[in-house]
Amino acid sequence: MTKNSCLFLVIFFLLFFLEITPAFAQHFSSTSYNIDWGNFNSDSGSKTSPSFQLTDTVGQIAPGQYNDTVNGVKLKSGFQYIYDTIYPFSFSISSLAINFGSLVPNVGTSATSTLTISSPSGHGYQILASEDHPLQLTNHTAQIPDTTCDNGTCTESTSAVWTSNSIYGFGLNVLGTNSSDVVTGIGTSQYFADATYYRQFANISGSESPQTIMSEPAAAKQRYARVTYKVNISGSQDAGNYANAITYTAVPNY
Amino acid sequence: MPFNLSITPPELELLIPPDKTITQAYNITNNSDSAVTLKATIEPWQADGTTGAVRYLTANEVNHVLDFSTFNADIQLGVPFTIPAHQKRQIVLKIKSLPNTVGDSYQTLFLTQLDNYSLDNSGTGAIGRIGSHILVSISPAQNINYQAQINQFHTTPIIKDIFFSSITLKGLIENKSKFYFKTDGQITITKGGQVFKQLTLSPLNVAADQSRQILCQTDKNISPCSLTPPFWPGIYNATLTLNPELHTAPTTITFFVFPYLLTLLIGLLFILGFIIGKIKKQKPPQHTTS
Repeated sequence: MTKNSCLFLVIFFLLFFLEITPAFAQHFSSTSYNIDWGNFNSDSGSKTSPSFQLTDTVGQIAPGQYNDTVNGVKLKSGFQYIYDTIYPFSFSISSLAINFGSLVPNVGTSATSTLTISSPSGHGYQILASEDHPLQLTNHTAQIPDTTCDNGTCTESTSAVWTSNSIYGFGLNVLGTNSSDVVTGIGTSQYFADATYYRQFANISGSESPQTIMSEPAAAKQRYARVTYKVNISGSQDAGNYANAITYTAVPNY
Repeated sequence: MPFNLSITPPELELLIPPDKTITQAYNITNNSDSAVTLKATIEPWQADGTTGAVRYLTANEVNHVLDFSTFNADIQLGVPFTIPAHQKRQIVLKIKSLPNTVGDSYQTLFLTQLDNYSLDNSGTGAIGRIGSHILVSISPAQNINYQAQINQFHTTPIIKDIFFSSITLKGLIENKSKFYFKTDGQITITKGGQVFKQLTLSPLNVAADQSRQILCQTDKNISPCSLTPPFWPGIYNATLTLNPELHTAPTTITFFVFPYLLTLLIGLLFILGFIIGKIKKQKPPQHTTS
């Protein structure tokens, strides 16, 4: 090993142990400007010193806390609290009537609908789903049970692969998409890995609680999800029209 | 679309004394092309997990500390009402805390669709519901003694290369008091005693006796607290500090940035050079004969 190589290595490791820190200044940028400041002149947020800690809001009219001492009500006003004025919390379902047509034994039948949700800054959202009961004849004499998927492991809260035409039942798959119905998985990949993963609907008549099928922890605008309903029956299933009702509940994260 | 509803505000946060009534106006907009029949209800919930999700309570689990009603002459809780297509209605909700009650109550104002759907053969009908949360702390004292605890504050990975993936800072804020508060604070990264970066915590609610994962605020976006490469090698400290009114001491952790991939590459090159040099020295000189 040459002398110069050893010297290089020594200098290299000295840099590590001397903890040389590059100097940074404040940098602002957008698509139309770049501003680099050598001084930190203004900032909002939290500031501390050995003897105090301060949080503040800079650059708006009338920030702060307002107390109604007569009625005992407290209001906090500031940028960090005004997250909800950008757009409203909204939820839509593309189709309310999901028709499967005449069910054919050992041939899975599918239908789809689209959920759309917007949740303003400062919150995320969750969409929960449940069924009033399993698909059943209008005279309540027979039901199509909820699917347990190919390996018998899917439940109302856990998804699994369901591709076999000899596995019977009713279930759902939910995939986040964009406005062109291209799968993105946003908001749903933690619940359904891909289009082959299905779950049961939570059965309210069986005292099951509605389950989350889509969620995000942060603001979302016009987020789409494709819901695929799948039903497969055996040859011994009683003939007739089977129906149930699915409730989709959209709430912000608290 | 058959069901397309908006509600503002999406959440109401209150601190009120016992035996007090307040009102809140909610704007409900029917964005669909057809009229929608709705029913307004109030349902209690508790926090479910550490990410802000909720679980709705059964009748046995409810502790009745609030009364709800509306000021509207034509909209009452539990009674159907209709909003025409592309129209909005305002619900003025009256919230009354019961006398001699102290503590938190978490509820959701739900608007549930009641329209009928028509199926041709076998099928399923969809019903839409949208909700707005109501978080209420009932206390005769305006200055509440909050108590937070920082748990599981750590980085992944602990030893980081100077390039490639980000460093993520994770932690839980536990609420050991009976009233909800916000995760108001910051993470200060220092190196060699100098501030390297400050991350502001997103002010997320932590319900009473629950925990919440920390997330950070950048402009108007909420995302995991993270640092992006490249990094200077060295020893870094990360200190999570909460608002003093949460009465918890800061927590500091240490992580290391070491260019182990670059060092490994340089080391391999030196070894290779050393081996080649050795081979050249050992090669016997070639003799030519005339």
